[in-house]
Amino acid sequence: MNVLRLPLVALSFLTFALQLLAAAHVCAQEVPPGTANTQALSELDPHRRPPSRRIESPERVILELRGGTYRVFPGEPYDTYFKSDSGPHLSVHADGILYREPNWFYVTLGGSFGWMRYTGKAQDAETGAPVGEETAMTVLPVTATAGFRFDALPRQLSIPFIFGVRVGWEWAHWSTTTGAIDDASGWSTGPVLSAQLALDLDTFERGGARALDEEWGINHTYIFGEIYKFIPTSKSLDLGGTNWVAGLGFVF
Amino acid sequence: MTCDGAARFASWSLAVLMLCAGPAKAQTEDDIDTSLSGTDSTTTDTSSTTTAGSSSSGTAGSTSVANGTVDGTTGTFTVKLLYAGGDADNHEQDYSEQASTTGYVIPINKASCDQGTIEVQLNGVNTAYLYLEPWYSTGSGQCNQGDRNTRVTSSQNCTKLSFAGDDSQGQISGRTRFNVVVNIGPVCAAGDGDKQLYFLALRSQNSSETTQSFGVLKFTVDTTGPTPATNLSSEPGETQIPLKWDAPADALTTSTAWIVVDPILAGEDQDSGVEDDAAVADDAGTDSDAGTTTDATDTSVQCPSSVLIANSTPDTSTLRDLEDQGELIIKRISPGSKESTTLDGRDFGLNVNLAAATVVIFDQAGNPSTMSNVVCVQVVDTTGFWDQYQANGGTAEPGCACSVPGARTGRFGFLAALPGLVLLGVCIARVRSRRRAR
Repeated sequence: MNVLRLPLVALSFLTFALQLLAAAHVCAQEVPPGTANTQALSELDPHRRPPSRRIESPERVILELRGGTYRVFPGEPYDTYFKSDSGPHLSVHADGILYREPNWFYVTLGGSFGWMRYTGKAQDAETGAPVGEETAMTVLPVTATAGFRFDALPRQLSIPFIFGVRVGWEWAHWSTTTGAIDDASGWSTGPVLSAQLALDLDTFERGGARALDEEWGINHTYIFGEIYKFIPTSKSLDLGGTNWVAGLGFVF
Repeated sequence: MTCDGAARFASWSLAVLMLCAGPAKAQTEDDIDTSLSGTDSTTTDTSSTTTAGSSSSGTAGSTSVANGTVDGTTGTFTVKLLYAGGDADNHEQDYSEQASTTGYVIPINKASCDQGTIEVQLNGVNTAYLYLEPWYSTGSGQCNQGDRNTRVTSSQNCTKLSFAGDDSQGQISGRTRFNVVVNIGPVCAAGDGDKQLYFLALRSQNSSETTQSFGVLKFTVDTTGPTPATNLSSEPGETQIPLKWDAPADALTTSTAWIVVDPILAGEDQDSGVEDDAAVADDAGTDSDAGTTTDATDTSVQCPSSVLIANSTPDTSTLRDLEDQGELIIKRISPGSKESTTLDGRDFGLNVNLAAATVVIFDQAGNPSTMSNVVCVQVVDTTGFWDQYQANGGTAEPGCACSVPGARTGRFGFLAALPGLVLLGVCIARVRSRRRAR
């Protein structure tokens, strides 16, 4: 858990730092106000007049770097071997923006790829006592989702909260080992649902946000927490449950 | 032309002539040796010879040879170490033509000293000389100086070494490049440290001979093994049996360690007083319950091994022979400072449930430490998540119509690419819609 929080916090600070740097860069390029030269340049030279409206690059993709715990395994034998293990679950999610109502909402279609691994002590087949070797399960979840993001609050009212939901399908490839032996591998599939609450970072530093857009093409940045639920089909290994992730998002 | 002008003309002409003539031709070794032919010269002549050596192989000279501090190329022909005997695997050294000119970097370990010989290659020997003699100095060095009588005096205290095998190795017989095998027993007997062997090319072997050509081989004798590993421990397992130990402080990242495993075949255990041993092995009469089927008072497991004995110095050649015969397993790990590994019980053989194990650490020269404590490795049947899942009546089956039990599917790529394909489709659709809009 703590290990997971660190990179998220670091990423958040990194984003803030990028914004601040970009803002400073923009400020450094501005003509000092209040001087005769400034006025003359602004009034006489049309190329140096400030833009009459904000210019943004087009928004095409949303990219999220995500991390969290994943403790879904209910009962035996999950508890026997992996009870004290909660992942971690690391993933990347990318959405293409199908439709954008400026300053109101997005409709997206995208997917994610993740990784999680659980290990525990194998048991003596006769006595049931833990032995030296490990048994492990590695899960590689892949999702395809459609999403809706409502960002009118930060854009219209400067309230820095964004809400999002996604619905889709997950294919989770799992493989299990005991010692040096590969026991089995397969797929768990089923629908996946998620709800996200994001904190819009642009609201706190608009100059930096604009500079990020101009220099990197990043329209918006946000940090988020998300609750999601994977519901495997009945024939799948039960990897489902309700879990959370947090991370850093970028709109390009 | 004035007198002054004539003088200038003369000096210019002289300069042009000198330039046309080119630099003075350096004297080759052969030139010098030829010039010395027939002069059974003294130490003064030796220095002349070594100067000649410098023309072909760099800085040289007996005058630079000073009591174990030889730097750079020494002598008038080169000496390379080809083989130092002993257990090659133990050595972990490549002696292929290691030149003597790089200082005392060539280690000669205990196995080599026990074997007692080294094979060297001499290159660039002048055929004007007839005899070759290897010498070793325990005194001030410089065995290339003086005649045979002064060479063995207390100041130089040189000892002539013998050739291993055929004495004809000492006959140069017109060869400029050849190999000889030398007994290094006296060198090793002098103890660990930096050593210099002088290979002297001589015109005669009488008492008044003096050296006219020589080569030097420098190496370090190191016969002391490193500190052994301690606190070796093991946990039961089947295919991934963990072993842990404490490596000594002098274990090197550049050396290796051996995990030596002696599988105990069924019926070989001498576990007097332990479980299920009635009527087997050597326990009859040794414990109070001999004759019974179980003796629950003692559940310890013992793995006696005639080869692996704690704190004993391993005979690495014997261990390797036993490994070749399939009676031992040696797992070589690197770096030698590592402190854990795993063993696969399947390597021990069918129906083998016990094995003795120890750790041997090697130093840079290839000397082994004594054996660590010997532990008993237990091979037990284990169950993991999947076994338990099935035993609990789990209904999921491996695969997804695209995999088989016990193996990774290897077809992950297609489904993993599915979201990417969806995104690609969306992008194409958007591009088309934009074109239509234009």
